[in-house]
Amino acid sequence: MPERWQSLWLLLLLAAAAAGGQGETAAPTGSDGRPGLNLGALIGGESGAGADGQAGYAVADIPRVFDFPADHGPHPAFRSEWWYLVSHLEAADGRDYGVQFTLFRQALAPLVGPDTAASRWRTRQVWMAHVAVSGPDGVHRADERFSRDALGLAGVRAEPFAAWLEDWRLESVHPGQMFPLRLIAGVDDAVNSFEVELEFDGARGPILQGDQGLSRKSEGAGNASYYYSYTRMDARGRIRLDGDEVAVEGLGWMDREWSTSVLDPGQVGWDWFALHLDDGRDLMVFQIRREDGSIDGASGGVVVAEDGASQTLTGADFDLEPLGSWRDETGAAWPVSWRLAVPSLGIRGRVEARHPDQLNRLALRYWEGRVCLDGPVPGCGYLEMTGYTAEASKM
Amino acid sequence: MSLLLRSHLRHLWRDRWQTLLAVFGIATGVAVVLAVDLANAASREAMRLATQQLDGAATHAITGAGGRVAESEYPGLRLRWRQGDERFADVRAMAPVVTAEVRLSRASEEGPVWPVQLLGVDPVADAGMRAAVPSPAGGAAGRLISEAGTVLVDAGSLRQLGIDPEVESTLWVRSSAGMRAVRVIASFSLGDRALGQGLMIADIATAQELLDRVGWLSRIDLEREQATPTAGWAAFLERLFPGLVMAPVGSEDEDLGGGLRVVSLAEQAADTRALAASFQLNLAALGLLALLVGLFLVHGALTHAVMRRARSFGRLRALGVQAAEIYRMVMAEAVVMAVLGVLAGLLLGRWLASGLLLLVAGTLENLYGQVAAVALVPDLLPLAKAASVGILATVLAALPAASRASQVTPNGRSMVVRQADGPRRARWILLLLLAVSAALHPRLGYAGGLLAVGAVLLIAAALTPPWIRACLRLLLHVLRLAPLQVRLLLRDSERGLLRSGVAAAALVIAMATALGMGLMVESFRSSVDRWLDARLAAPLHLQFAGEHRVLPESLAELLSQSMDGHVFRVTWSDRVAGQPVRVSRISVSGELPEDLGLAMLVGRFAGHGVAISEPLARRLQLSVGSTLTLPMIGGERELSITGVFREYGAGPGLILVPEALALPALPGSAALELYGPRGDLDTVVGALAAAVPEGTRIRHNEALLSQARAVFDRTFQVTSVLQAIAGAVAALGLFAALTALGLERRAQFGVLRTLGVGRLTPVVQNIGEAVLLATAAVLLAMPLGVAVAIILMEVVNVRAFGWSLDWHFPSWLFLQALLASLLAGLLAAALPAWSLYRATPAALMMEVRADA
Repeated sequence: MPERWQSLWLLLLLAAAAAGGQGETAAPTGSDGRPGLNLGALIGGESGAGADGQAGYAVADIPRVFDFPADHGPHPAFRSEWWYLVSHLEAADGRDYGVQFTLFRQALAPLVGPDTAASRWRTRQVWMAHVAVSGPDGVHRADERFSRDALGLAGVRAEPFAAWLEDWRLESVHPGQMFPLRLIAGVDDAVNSFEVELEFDGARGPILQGDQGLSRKSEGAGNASYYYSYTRMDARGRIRLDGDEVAVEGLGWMDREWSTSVLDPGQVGWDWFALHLDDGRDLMVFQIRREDGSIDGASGGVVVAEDGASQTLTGADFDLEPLGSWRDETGAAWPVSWRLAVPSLGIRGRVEARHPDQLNRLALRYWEGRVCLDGPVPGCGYLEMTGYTAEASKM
Repeated sequence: MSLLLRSHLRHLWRDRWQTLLAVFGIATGVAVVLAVDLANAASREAMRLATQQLDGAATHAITGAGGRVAESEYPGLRLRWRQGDERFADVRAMAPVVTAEVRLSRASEEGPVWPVQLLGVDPVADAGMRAAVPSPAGGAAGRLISEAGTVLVDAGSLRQLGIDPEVESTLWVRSSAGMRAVRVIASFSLGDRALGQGLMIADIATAQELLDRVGWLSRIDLEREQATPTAGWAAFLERLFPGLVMAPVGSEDEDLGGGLRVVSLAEQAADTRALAASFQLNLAALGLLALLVGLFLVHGALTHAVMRRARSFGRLRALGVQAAEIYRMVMAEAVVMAVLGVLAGLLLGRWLASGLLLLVAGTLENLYGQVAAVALVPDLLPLAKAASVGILATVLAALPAASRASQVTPNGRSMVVRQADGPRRARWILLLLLAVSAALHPRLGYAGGLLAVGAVLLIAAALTPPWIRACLRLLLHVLRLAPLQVRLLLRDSERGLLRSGVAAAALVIAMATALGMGLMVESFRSSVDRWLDARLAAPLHLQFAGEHRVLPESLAELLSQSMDGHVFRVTWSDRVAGQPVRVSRISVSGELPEDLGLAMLVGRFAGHGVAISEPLARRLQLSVGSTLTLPMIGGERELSITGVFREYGAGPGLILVPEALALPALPGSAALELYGPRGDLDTVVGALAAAVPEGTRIRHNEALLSQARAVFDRTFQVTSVLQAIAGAVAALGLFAALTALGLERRAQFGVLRTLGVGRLTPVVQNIGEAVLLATAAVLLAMPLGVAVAIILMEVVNVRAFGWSLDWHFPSWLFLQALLASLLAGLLAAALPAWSLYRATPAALMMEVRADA
């Protein structure tokens, strides 16, 4: 999990660089059909891929003392940062739903000295938000928004906590305490019509990932991120999807991460699982896939007991094997069925997507959706997959 | 299989070529209707894309008092939009803009200056809205946002300043805020897109800082869905007949509260839209007329079939078959032909439309160096429309034939085939004339005009047989001493008219349609050319805005002294009788200079009065000799009208004022245009840039003019293709007519051949008859074509858009019609003639027996 968004940025950068190099003009297209904002290229304009782009930014190199609530807020000295929340939910009649909300911050240039700009529009930060809702019968809706960090159009505030882009907001209900959190987001346009209003409480965490919250990615100094999670929250609220409004209840998972360094260009994508097990434990495992089809050594995970005690997992602790794929309209095959085994924890079984098509067809194209584990210790949660393309699927 | 059905099928098979021709006629008609529909939809999309490339996708803007908006309003407006405020219901994008006219120079003191428009945008909110704003994929957007004082400048402007566009450079920006340095991090090409003006793009923060406008926006651009009706009958009609129901151009401003208003952008875009709508209406009319021609083919084919089978019908009647059954049988035949024809027509139309689309795509490629995503708009409605029009019309066309067939008496005589149907025909013509005059009633609008065209064509059909008969009799009279063969030919042709009349009528309609459309398109084209000339005649256009919205009179004086040989024109906005108008004062008092490109419709431009534009004259019901009142600052001023000139476009009316009247320009946004030698314009621009006040926008019109011409030239290629199709349908009509005639005459020639007449005689007779028919038909079609063109130009266009077209009837169109008609006649006669030449008298006589 730690590196996944970092890798995403990197992939975008590379894609933009490759497109630029070959003189291709194929720009990503947004959900409403207009040319999408290629944020990857946007950041590419300032900082090229590779270590040179890190100059001037703070790096995550040694464990730090986390300071809450301040660390819920932004860390603009680092290049990128995200607030990420998924929730799998059920209506009273048993129909299942899923909600994803992600807010990304990306710096265009390092902060140098005090900001003396006269214009309130002057900024070095841009924001991107994704909201996706899936419902019964395979309905999946996703939308995205972009904004610069100016005039309060988008941003994050630590106390009282609020993370927003225009009218999409994740914020504390009561000043002075992080939880309960309320998420309000929705869209009504020619393409999408949905709205979510959810409250999250009873959070398990913060769980510091990796080495006291420093999540190392490779041998290189500074190739790491600061990373903590709330692995289990009780969620309740309402969802309106295509005109149908229901009351829902379920569980949520929230991740917070910030870093500067980029990953190895040989990495092409990842598979990330976050499961709430019925025995009360929370399990997260991820693997990073390399160009040659091998699994990167940076793969890992965490298991959190009911009392909040966590145990870090390495790639050697678990096995992941794809069993079946779903092909999207471009021909890319997304493995929506997996065999998962964590022998040391007694966890094994088949992880199946609730619906095969939970693909976010946004400027960034990735699969993010509800899955359930069928085995001795069952559970449900979210799976995130990136980097599956038609070309790769042909090989 | 029933006797009826077998008899039916046998006849269809025997007349298979006629049947096929009729089916092909329907197919062609349906195809043209569909192709025009699809091509119109695609060209609307292309037009939208083109405007977007030029002016950005923004259709509206939020403005505030004093021409600016406090930036603090922006987040709230954005939230209102996102949260579904109904005022923003059709908004697709919202983007803040800080803009001003500035001048660029290389050094802070001396040296050349060059005028550019500074466009400050938020690249994140602007993504995809303006082609000129580099996509963030170019990598420059990140630097624009994060580095203060960075800009992009168009390569042309950089070259004017002697700067290599390939390298980063530092320039000085002169504005009302003083002089500031900027870093040019990249250049971009305006290419053919050049708006006749330099462009400098900056991040919105940089623009605010350069202009000392921190806290303020110039406006907030909105991209709205096309303002077409979205509900009810109007929406349905608009979809059915695109362009017929036009949204009012230049809709009312909307008040957002707090001093903010939503205004419609770009009067120019509205002009283009209005012209495009007119063009599409004319194309749609062409489609319907093509269908009418197809209908006459059907009508002719069925009538022919029924007449050939008169004996067979008689026998059937004698066997006890009811008249109603025969009626149903003929109608069933028509429906089968209709279904086959419509299916073929839909395929053909789809194919034609994709061909037309290539032309549209070619335009965009030429203009923008890239193939824009112009595709057929996938929509079932045009298909359904073309199909139902085709079937309905075929059934209507078959009604008379079915009625004839059912009236055949058991002895095999058709009650309706009679020589003396003159009075009946006269009644028809009278009825149609009444219909024309009714349809031309102003209350029926342009739809009435289209109906009138249809009625005129029906009159042509009714007139055809008597006209040809008259021609033949006249010829017979003149050639009464000619050899027997010639007289035989003339008499035979006249006798054949009973049967060939319908086919000849189809030919006349086809020719009249093709000619009428050709004349209309030519006139439309020359009118657009003149309009473009008039609009962009001035090589230089100066727009005074901002603090200098009033034209400095001293400047005009200065310019007229220093730039000898140039004519100046100062234009400002005013109101007459509550209507918004533009008033234009020209620095001449006598004849208008040529290069103004204005065509007088009535009267002339004289020193003692004003000339007004045609749409304004029609709107206010003014004419030469009447007066209009301008509410001047020092009291009202009465102006007499000495002339009316043509104007195309959707803008407010225009009043042309001679210098001699010494009318002072009103405060408001004023423009100054400079006409005259087009020589060294760049030098003139440089000189002007140094002399004019801050905030003056200077535009070259030359680039704009050539570009607009390119767009229209390409668009007219679509009409040439459609014209060619209409011509092909006409040729087909002639072919059908002559083939039918040839078949009719085989028996007769059989008798002649048996009597010892040479085998060449039938051939000569056949070809001679074709030439006679074609000539007579085209002679009738010419005045009718002119009538069709006049109704289209003077009724349909005037009622739909308030402008009439400049008549432009090139003689080559008439010559072309004549030659095409003769050539088609010869070609069509060749096949039956060849077949006659080869047939033995015995074989021909066999056909006589089979027929009997």
